[in-house]
This record gives sequence, structure tokens and C-alpha cells, in this order.
Amino acid sequence: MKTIRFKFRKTEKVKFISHIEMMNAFMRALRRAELNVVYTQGFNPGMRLVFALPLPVGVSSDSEYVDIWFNIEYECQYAADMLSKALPDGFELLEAFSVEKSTLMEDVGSAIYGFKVNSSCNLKKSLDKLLTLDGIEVDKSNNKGPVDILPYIYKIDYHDENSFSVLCKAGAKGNLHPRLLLKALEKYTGTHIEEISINRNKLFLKVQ
Amino acid sequence: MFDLINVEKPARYTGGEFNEIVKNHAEMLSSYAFCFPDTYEVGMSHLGMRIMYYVINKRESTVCERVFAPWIDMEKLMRANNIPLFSLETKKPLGEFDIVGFTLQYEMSYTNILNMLDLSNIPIRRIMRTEKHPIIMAGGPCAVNPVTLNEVVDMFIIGEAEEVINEVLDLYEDIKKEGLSKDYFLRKATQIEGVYVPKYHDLKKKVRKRIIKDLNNVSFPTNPIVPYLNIVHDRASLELFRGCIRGCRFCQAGFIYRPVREKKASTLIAQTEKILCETGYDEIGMVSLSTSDFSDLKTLCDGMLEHTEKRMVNLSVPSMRIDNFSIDLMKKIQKVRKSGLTFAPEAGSQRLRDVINKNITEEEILNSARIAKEGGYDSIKLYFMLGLPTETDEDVIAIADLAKKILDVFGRKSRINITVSTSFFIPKPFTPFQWCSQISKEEMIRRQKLLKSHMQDKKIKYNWHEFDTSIVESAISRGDKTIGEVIIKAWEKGCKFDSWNEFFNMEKWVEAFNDCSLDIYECASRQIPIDNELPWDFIDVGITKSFLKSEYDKAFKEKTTENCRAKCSTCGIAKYKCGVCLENNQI
Repeated sequence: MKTIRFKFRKTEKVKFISHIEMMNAFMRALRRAELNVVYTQGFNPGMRLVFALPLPVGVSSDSEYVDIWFNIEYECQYAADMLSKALPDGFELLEAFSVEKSTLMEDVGSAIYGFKVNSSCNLKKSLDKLLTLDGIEVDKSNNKGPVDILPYIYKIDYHDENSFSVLCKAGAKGNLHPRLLLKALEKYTGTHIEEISINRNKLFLKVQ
Repeated sequence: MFDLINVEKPARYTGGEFNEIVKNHAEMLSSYAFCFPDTYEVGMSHLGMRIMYYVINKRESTVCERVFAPWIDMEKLMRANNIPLFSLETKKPLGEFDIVGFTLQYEMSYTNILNMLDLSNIPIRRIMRTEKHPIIMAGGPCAVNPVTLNEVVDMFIIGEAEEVINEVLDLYEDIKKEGLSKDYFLRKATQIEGVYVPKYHDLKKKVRKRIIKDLNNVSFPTNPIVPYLNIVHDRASLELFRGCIRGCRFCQAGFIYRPVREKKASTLIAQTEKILCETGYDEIGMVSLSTSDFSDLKTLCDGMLEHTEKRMVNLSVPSMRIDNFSIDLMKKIQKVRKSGLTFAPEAGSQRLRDVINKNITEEEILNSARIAKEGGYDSIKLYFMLGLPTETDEDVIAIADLAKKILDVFGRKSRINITVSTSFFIPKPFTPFQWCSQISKEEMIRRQKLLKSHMQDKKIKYNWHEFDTSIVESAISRGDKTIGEVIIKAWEKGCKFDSWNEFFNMEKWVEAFNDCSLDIYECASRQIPIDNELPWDFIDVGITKSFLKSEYDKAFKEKTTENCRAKCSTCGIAKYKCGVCLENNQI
């Protein structure tokens, strides 16, 4: 058995594909590639693969990871070539390397998101002001009450009046949903912020 | 484009799925928009669409792209931003295609056709359209009674389209190359067999349906589009045969798709391997009207299982009679999960089953239940129809009795769950019951309550179909030109997605009928005198009217008719000289 970690890009073209749909798309691609994937035991066997961190619908990414278990000791490059050929347009494999022990989901630590927006507020001032607050309370979309997102934000880089990027906490032990930041910005500036695009520029994994 | 982030399931509108075909319009002679008048998830599940997309795109000179009915939230956004309806492949507006073709799968989707045209800024009435508008085509099972859409559609294709679509497109492209008009094309197209053009129809002529004589030699897509979204039938589909040997008298499919033509098991097994390689699906389903009637089922199953097992792929086998063979097969294919079993006796009493020619006895049903019990199944679904011609209260109560007898087979202490579902009988063109009336709404309610009162057992669950949608469907399916006006009125009042309970609006339909001086309830429950001319008489689906009349007579005498393999009932379809008609040396 061998576990290979693939880094890939989820481009604009497929950014509306949900996390579950993407998992299905990968499983179908693996079947087309005729790679010998390990199946889980039990009542309803499924392919053994783990993605690092779900991406919200509508967000693209340059830095996605998936660990896939194989019954055969494939060369990483070979597996990557086969999978790459079978993946639908819009997914681009970037790297493949073997991992000894997969703790991919726990290893996620932080992420950088790039935002492109349209707004009538002074973006630089508003972002600066946001970081001087004692807390940034926003309502989560699932009605679970307000959450303070300030502790999750490590750094905001202003690029120009339509774009900025954020380094933030990510993963199972605390995660910033990128749209919550836009929501906070709307709340604290009182203006409408139109989302043009959000991209996950980087996902940082703790070194094993 | 505008913001798709705010619509539900944006992937319905983005295209780009695996195996999608994208061509350069500039290099094509003609463009065809294949429109399914329902949501993406429904339309993408439809095998006919997968086939036609493949057949048309196989042509080097033609591009075929997909269009679905946008969901309400998307429609609102499109109308607010003045965005016309567009195709998934190249986001081209419908109005810029040469031909816009709709598939008519069920009558309750007709208002969506009007809405899709309107969303494309294409006038819904053909007389309002000009040379700059696309040709509006339609086909599919409901096209056997095309006159309800006479004022909307320029051209209908009657029957199976794989061959005739090429003749139609060849003609269109020749005429376009010569710089002649679309109107000229329509006139010339009347000479193609299977084509009905309302504007140029010669009333003395019958339009004869087209069929594919040999399914082994017709294009079948082994590389269908693999959607990202979880669609209704999210699996590879393999068509075993067309037609049905049974001839249940209420079933339109059983008559209009005659004669039965099978693919060879070897063809199907080869297609299984190809389709799994090219799609990566984890499930493949057999598609036909009655799987058990496939003549070489054992060879087929063994051959398919060989491919599915090694790939960890599920084989799904719907429309299967329950017998020892099928239970053994189920054991093989459902190693992990035991889904429920489904029976469709359609009527509760033997008398009524004879009337509808459902050739299955109570003993056979109970025996199936015994086999299912031994097979370890603990969930059974039973399908029946209420309001079938000649139905009495005893027949209604017999449904409850049959359910109880099945429960007894399993024993009261078993874990069995029985679900009984009833729908209401809807008379359909080209069936022996096409002259029959549908029961009134009051009767529907009374019989449904009667049945409910006899099904008080906790282990038996009872579901019934909506009354009102059955009434509208009945009134439309046997409709004439006036009903076409009703449909336009209903759409103008805001009717769309009528097959979706949350959007169906009976009041608007009642009003639409009233506006045309019709009563919807009378239209639905109309008994047609047997010698009357019918709006669909000019369509020839192969079976003769005298055969339908004799089946009608036999029904009321409670006499059954044997299936096509056992004995030819000389329905008239043998003139096509293929399929089961040749097996029996009937010709």
C-alpha cells in the first residue's frame, strides 16, 4: 500500500463545483485512469482518499491537496500522469509525492486568500480599521449566532482598491470562512461589497 | 456574466463537464440547441438526450449544445439583467442557433417550453416568428399527439430520431448553403418520412413514425457527459431494447414503441466495458420497459458482471420481475446493500388485471413475495392505479387485500415494510383506453379515501398521487388545437414547472381552460365516442386503429391478449419488418 499526496489547482472553470461533487469527480477520474485504489472496508465500500480542507462553492484555489491510497507501489510521477489525463478540464495537478503517514486534515494550519471586490468604501482604510477593533463579530450563515473572526486573521495585505489578500487560520481547529471577512467588512463599513472573485492562493500544512 | 454565487446549484448553468463536446461555431454549417424543458438534473438523466447529443455532434458540419429550463432563482436574475437563455457549452443565446429542438417527455413540461422560448426573446407562436428566428423543432413520446403544440412548433419528428435527424440536418444545411429560406426548408422537409410540419401539412397524408430497425448498428454513446451535480439517474445507462411485448392497455409506451427490438447481449457487454472506461461511473443501469423480457438475460448479466465486479461498479436492474433468477442475480449484484423490491400489479383484483391486460396472477405475485422473503428483503413497494376503466369499489378494496396477503407471506412479526402507492389512471393517445374517461375529482377523492380506510395496518404505508396534476395531464394529453391555446393561456398566467408540486397551480389552470370556454374537469373526464375522429388520427405509429378498438372491446369483456412473443396479435406493426415480428415468422 502506498499513499500519494497530490497538490492541485481548482481553477475558475470549476469553482462552482461543491466539495462532495469534486470528491466524486476525483473518484470517477481515478476509475477512468484505472489506478488501483484502496477501498474502505465495511458496509458501503468507497475509495480511500482524503482532501485537505473543503473549499466554499464559488472559490477557486491554487493550493489544494488530496491524499490517495493505492494497492500498488506506483511511481508518484506515473500516478500523477495517469490521473492528470483522466481529470476533467479545470483541475490541474501540480505536484505528487509520497507520504509516510497521512494526517492531511489535521496538518492544515493556515491559508492565504486573495480577494477581488467592488466597493464604494475606501478599502485600505476599512481594512486597517478592521484590524484595530477589539473583536470582529459576524453572524455565521448557519444561524449559530455571532462569531469573533479577529483571532483567525493573522495579516491583511492591501494590493489596490479592488484587491487584497489575507493570511488566516485554517483547518479543523479554527478556520476562517473567506466570505465571513467580506461580511464583516460590509458590517463595519455599512457599504455593499460586491465579491468579484476569491482564490485560495496558498494552503500551509504543518511539517510532518 | 452576472453573479452565479447567489443562485442555487450554479453548476447547473456552467457546463464544462467531462466528455462535454465543444465545437467552433464558425466552422459549422448549422447549430442545434437540444432543449430539455426541465431542470439540469432531470434532463441530464434522460438517455434520449444523451443519444441525440452524440448523434448530432457526430456530424462534422453540425454542433449540438444543451439547454435546460433555468430554476426560478436563475430565471429571476436573467430577466432582471436582460440575459437571454443560453447553451451550456458556449453560452450562446438560443436565438442565435439555426434549430432549437425540444424533447416532449411529459405534458406537464409544456409550459416550460413556452417559458424557455420567451426567455430567449423568441416569439412563442410560429406565425409571429420570421426568418431571423431559429426553426423550432420537437420530438419525443408526446409528439405522437402533436396538435396541442401546433401553433408553437414549426416541425415535429415522430418516432425514433437517430436516422431522421441526419436527413433533416442534411436538408437544412444544403438549403442554407444555397442561400434559400428557412420557410423553403420547412416545405421541403415535409417530404421526409416521420416529419410533420403544421404549416405545410397535407391533410390527406398520414405522418408515419420512424424507427431504428437494428439497434446493434445505430450510434450509441459510450462516452456520455459525466455531470458534476448529483443528477436524478447518476449512472451510466445501457439500453437493452426498445418496445415492450406486454401490451398493458393503459400504457402508451407499450404501444408507441412497438415492435420490440433487442440489442445483442454481445453488443451490450462490449458497450458496458467501453462506457465504464470512458465515464468512470460507479454504477451502470439497464434501461428498458421490462428487463425480464430480454431474451438472453443470463448471458447478458454474467457478461456485465464480469466487467462491473472487477471495477467495483454496481449493476442496477430496474423493471425486473421477481423470480428465482432475479433473486439470485440480486444476491450477486447487491453484495453490500439490499435495497427494496418493487412490484407493479397496477390493479388489486384479477378481474381488473384482466381488463388492463396485466398478465400476472395473484399466485405469481405472492410467489414473488415468498422468494423475496427468502432472499432476505424487508422492504417492498407496490404500485397501483386508481380509476382504471370498469373499476368498482371491490377492485379498490382488493388493493388493500393484496397488500395484506403479501404482509401475511412475510408474517406479522417480520421486519417487513410495505409501501403502497397509487396514481390515477390517465387516458393516453394510441392506447386501447384512449377513448375512456378519467374518473371525476370527487370520485378520485372518494376511492382514495375508501382505499385508505382499508389500509389501517401500521406495517403498510400508503402514498397517493396528486389529484389535480392527474386531471390537467388527462385534459392535455388527449388535447386538440384548442388545448394548445389553453396551454399558452396557462403560461401567460404564470404556470411553469407544473410537474413540481411546489409550483403547480390548479386555479390558474382552471382559469386558463375557462378563458378558452372549456371546463377542465369535463375535458379530463371526457368519454370519446369510439367512432369519433381523433386529433392524432393523422399520425401513424404503426399499430392500427382497428387493433386498438379490438383491444378496447376485449378489455370490457375482461379478455386478455397474449404477449408478442407468445402469439402475434396482428397489431399492424409487422409492416416495419423487424424485431420481435421477425422472430415469430409473422410476416
